[in-house]
Amino acid sequence: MQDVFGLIFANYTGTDFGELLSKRTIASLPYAGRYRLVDFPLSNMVNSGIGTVGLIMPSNYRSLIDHVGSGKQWNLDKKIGGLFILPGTVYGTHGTTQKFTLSDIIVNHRYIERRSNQNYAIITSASKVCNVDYSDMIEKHIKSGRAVTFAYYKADGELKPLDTFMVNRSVLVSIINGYAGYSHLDLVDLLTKELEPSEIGSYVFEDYVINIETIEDYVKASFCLLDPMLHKKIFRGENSIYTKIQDEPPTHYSDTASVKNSLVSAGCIIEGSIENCILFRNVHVEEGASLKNCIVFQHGTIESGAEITNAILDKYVTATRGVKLSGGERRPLIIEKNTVL
Amino acid sequence: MSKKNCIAMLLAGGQGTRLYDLTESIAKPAVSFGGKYRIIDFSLSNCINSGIDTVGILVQYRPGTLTQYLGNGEAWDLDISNGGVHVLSPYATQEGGAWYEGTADAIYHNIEFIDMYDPENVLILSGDHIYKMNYARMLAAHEEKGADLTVSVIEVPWEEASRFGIMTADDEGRIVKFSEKPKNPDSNLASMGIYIFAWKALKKALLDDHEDPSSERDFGKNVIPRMLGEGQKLFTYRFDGYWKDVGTIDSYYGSQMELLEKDAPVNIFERDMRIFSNTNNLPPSFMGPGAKIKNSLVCNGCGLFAELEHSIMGSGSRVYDGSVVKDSILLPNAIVGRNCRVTRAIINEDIVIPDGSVIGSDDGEITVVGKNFFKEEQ
Repeated sequence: MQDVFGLIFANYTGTDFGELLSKRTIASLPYAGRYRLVDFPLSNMVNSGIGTVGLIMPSNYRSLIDHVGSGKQWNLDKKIGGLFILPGTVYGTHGTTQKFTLSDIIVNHRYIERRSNQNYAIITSASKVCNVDYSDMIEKHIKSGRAVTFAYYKADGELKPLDTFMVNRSVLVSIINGYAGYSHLDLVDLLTKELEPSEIGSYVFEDYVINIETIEDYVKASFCLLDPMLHKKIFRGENSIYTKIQDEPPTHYSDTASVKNSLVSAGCIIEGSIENCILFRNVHVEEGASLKNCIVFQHGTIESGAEITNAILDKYVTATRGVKLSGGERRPLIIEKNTVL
Repeated sequence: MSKKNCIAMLLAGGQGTRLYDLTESIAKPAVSFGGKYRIIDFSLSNCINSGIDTVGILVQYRPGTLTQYLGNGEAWDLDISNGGVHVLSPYATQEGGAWYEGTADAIYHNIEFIDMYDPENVLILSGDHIYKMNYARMLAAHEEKGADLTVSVIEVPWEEASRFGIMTADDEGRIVKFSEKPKNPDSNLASMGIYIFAWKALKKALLDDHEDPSSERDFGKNVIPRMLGEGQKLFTYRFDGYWKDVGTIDSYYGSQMELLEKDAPVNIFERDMRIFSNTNNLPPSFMGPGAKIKNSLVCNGCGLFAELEHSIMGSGSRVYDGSVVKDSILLPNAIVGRNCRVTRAIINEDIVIPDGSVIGSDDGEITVVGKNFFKEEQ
């Protein structure tokens, strides 16, 4: 086990997501047919040998807590360490997009002080889709003797922040104690301001990383998985991405099914035609229905004759017979949960 | 342990010799079924769906994969503090040790285990049948009759009756005769190998049977005839749902192909009497640009880049470009390379079919590809 505890900040939201984030947070945004974004930081922590992880909850925590449960799927239901559900502050309810709000950590200072058997923390958000191993960063940070190491990744020829950093517990505790009254501040800003440049290190990950801040990012991040190479980098690497187990039956394709270039989760019934789609579990596409460039969350029903292009259908959406709808390629239609079209 | 009204004992030690390569390294109940299930899932799910929360699982032949798959029983909601899944293997004592000699012997050696729960009744199950059954109804019938033993029976075609253990019952359902594979059957009610015993009666029968040196220690051959001979109260319980022994390649193949039918006799999609499995953490299946698929089942973790018709792709299995897979079953993690033709074949777990292979044909026997398949060909 690493001498590190993990902290995942989930008490913030994204811009532009409309109804998709009205009842859930970025961390519980469904992704890639069966995951939620929080699966990535959780799995990465566990795959890096971190056995104690605190998850800072948003105020609309229902979907997130339903998903992570006791942490069992990430092997975090333990006697030694495990998953700790930590309350977030009121700032998250105001729709802040600031990820590392200091107050979220201040209210949990007792938890952080108690983790005294671990001398370091890795702190991350839930907005980056990646399958990475922190072990090398951990080793280099400890060797460097610095107070904090900020992680970066390469994209479009430049270095971008991974929203992940490793910090010495003593530094974290002194920041918490020193700024108890300034709770709306951003932890990353503070660390950069408080520490000497020589105390701050950086680490660059070579792995493929997908950033999700806006709905456009989300659409891009979803459909890029239809490239088998990118899909492999995220899901078929050395380490697995873990998620809540649902135990659905296999997906059934009928004689009339036509499927091209799609990700299809278990428990679906496909009798119609789908192309460039991502289907979550229990989606039913009836004979004569057609879906193109769509993301359909669980329990969607596309009735016979419905034709939908460039749309995101939230959970339990039904497109009735003959509905024809299409959105823009970069700005898909977003259909709210439980809608009957 | 607090007292239970009924606990189940599941016989899972069989070798399944007629499944050949499929049971070369795993016990029959652990053989993959329907893409993501294993055969034992049906009996275990039936237990929890019937309110039976304590299941002793008797293992013997190649228990590795099976016990790993069972884990702590969590997948079937059988990870509870007072009961749940217990794997019961043959064991040694101060007097020595021995393998389970027969079905009754396996239960005999676990009398102490059963006594721990002090049950009124014990349900005996096999781990190699595909069916959905509410044992609670059978238990209610058993208790209502005040039976010492209730045998679940199913009507079979008269011409096939001589392949089964046949129960002859009176109008009340009381068994008057039991004949193992009779040449001239006088009844077509076949035993399904599902018994509910009053524990007191079973314990006595097991102890008596153990004293009989000529006994083969088998429920069908020895214990039931003994109880019948003693005039105990044996009743039949009629089951009229789907039930299939998948002990041969043909029945194993046929029963899975039935899952592809429009109104499949065992519905894995319906939510009540759901079949649970110890499932994996694989991503959704990837249907490539060249995927063509007709009437098939596909599990998570699969990748299809070719043509698939009337087939089942098990978890994590893959079919690459230019291949055509028809009327076949790929067990978990089987891989079909490029430009292959696979017809009426069962590809065992983890088997890789090299590019350009032609496997199976439209007629004749089902081809089973296990790890010895390519060795034999050379």
